[in-house]
Amino acid sequence: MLRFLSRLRNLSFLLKEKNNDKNSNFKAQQLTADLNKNIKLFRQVLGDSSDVIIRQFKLARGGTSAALIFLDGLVDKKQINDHILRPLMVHSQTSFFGTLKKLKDSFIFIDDISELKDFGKIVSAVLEGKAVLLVDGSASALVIDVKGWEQRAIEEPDTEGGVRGPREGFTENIRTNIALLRRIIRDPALTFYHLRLGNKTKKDISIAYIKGVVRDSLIAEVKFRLNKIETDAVLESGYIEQLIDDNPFSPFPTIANSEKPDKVAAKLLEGRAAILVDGTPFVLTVPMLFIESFQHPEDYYVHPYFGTFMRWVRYISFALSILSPAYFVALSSFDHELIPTPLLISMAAAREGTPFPAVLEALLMIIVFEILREASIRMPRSFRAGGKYRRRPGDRTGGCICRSNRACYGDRYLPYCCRHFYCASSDRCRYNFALCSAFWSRSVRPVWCDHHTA
Amino acid sequence: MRLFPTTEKKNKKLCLLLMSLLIIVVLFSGCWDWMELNDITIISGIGLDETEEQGKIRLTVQVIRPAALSGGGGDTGGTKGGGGLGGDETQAVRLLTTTGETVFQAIRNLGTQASHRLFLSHTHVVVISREAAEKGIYRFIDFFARDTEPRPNIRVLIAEREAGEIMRHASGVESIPALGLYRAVQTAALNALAPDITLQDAKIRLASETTELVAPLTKLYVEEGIDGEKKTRVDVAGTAVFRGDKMVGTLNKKETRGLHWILDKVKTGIIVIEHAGGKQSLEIVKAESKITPEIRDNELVVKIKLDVNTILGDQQCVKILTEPDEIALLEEKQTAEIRTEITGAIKKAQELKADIFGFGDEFHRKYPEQWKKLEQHWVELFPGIKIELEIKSDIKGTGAIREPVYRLR
Repeated sequence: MLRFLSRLRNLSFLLKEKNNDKNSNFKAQQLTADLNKNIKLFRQVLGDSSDVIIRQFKLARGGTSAALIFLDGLVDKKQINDHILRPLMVHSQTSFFGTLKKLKDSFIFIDDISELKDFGKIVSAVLEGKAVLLVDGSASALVIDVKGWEQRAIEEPDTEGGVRGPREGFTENIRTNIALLRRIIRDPALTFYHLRLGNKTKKDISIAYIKGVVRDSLIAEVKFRLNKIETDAVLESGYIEQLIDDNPFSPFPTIANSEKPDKVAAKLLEGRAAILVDGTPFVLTVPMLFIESFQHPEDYYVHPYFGTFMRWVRYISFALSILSPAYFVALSSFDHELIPTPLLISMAAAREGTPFPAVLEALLMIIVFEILREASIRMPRSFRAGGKYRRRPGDRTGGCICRSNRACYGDRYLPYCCRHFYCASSDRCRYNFALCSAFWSRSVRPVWCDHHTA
Repeated sequence: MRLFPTTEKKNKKLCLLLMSLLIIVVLFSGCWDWMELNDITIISGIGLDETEEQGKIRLTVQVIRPAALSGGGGDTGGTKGGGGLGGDETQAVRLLTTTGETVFQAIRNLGTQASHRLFLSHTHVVVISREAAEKGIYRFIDFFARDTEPRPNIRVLIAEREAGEIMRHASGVESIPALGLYRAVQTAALNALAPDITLQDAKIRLASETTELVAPLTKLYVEEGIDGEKKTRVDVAGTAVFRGDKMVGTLNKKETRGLHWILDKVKTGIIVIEHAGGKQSLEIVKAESKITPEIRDNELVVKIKLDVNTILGDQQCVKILTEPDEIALLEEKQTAEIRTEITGAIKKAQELKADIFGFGDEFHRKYPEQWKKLEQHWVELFPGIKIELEIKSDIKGTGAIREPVYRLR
């Protein structure tokens, strides 16, 4: 087994290296004045992917050859057709005059445009969703920002509900998220510091803070930590969270995250810094104090009496959820005299016939809760939508606790969550195991039971 | 933060060892007195009798069977089988009986019958038979005071006949008879029909030099159940009076309320007076009493000031009783009734030479110097104490109606 694993590791190592070989040397390449050579270069680097589009055309009705390179799906085609191709093909002058400046200045109706020579930078611009214009006779390229792709609309976040307050939540697009914050805090002091992380993913990251409110050393520290990150992939803000965490071994978070712009704005106004990561609606805020787990912007939207009350409810329920299993064990295994007699009797009645100690019961209960929680999150939506399956696990446990005052229901309710667990794959496993056990008992039992039956 | 500040292998190992030891010490220290709920037998009530054999104690304990109480099973203890606890398997409790030289020994002797360790922290009542109480009660009480498991709020009762029989029969609506008896004592005390004496009260009264112990009396009675069968039930009423630790007599219901008036323990109750050709009930809503001892030229006097408020609860005549003159008459008769109850209780106590009211302690507090002399002769002095009663009783209301709804036509 160990050998197999180590072999696997070697293999993956090889794979990685191969990949690196193919891609790492393109940065050394240079553009030339020959358009065909340049196109070949791009073909070489970007490969045969079907989404790479290289549109070759002539400037000004049959003039100089040119090519527009972009990735299908990442660009806004309407802009390319109307504001790049049309003016270049129809209106521009016939002859090419050595530099791209004239084209840039007079014929391309796009706001964000730059002239680049560095081939590596140009390739990553293409991968970002920009279009690259190559013109025959020029060793540099025009990089035109025509990004535009399908994205989720601003929706109410699922993870953070609320009764009162704005409904909008962050999306996967960092530009939208920045705009959402800007719309709340209309102050020139609100600053976004941009950087990119991940050798392969090259995620856009933005540190947001309000100058004059935030402590400078905090921003310096955040920048320092982020810049020190050396990683291939940043898929979600969780990667960053774990890479810059103060104390990786501690179970307590030191970095908060939120999907709600109003919450992040509130924290910015308190002098914290936010880290926005492209591709996830979860925005990080630093530093985080433990007490923040109990706070919610809604506390400030409602009447102070009620807000304070709700906060105390949270403190109390925190203490309850942390301590009650322990108290249950302590009372039912040691301090029976502390339980009121009627409760003691019903607890004793519930324990009748349970072979396990209360500690085990409590642990089993906690584990079953975790399983149910995990199952209900991970279960495919199509299973949940029916209503019948969806309601079952929670209902059964809740009802069970109320009805019998007992903690031990793992025996009865494990099958339930197993039923909901994942779908086909676990089902198949279950059948296999069931069949195995059936065979095993059929074949083994007669041997054991010989003297009983005879 | 680094878990282990040193990189040396040896120290790392030592750290691991210490950590695991710490974890073991913290996590496993609770194991020695670990007792799961299904490893104990909960005793709900204890009955103590004398055996025919001299000096031995017969112990009857009522143990709870939780399984019978959780759904299904027997939900009604003591309503089957002619008033006894009947069909044993469905009952909420089971009786275990044994004998021993002492209470403690008898309880440990139950070990041969109980399936689990016996647990006394949820014991609610201790019933001692009158016969045994007359010979002295302390030999039964000490164990419950000394042992750490029994609670100080156990109710101590005296059974007219056998204490074991009381354990066998149900009281009230509780499915556990001992719990029913426990509630019955409290309800009786609320109506001043029996004193509510906890183990703690008993300890205090036994410890006092002069104040004597009282205890509620309990007895069996027979009534016809809804199915027409005769059922034996348990009743709590009246007071057992002790001198020292020996029971010497009883107070009836009226005298019991007299005792409660003096002790300022009347919460509520009904005073019935004959008036205007019928019986009228007055419900006590407030009662306050104050005892002031006085020494007047070699005569011991106790002044009792009583302030009682009642409301007219029920009238049998059709006369309008709410006129000021009538109210005044009613108040007068009510005062007389209270006076009778108090003097009755005092007379009885003086006859029994038992200072159940705590007059001795009052004198001690007020006249600490003279008390040293009084104390030695208290048993002889107590019957001679003069009582001065000052009763102020008012009728404060007439209930939901003023005049009777029915008048003679």
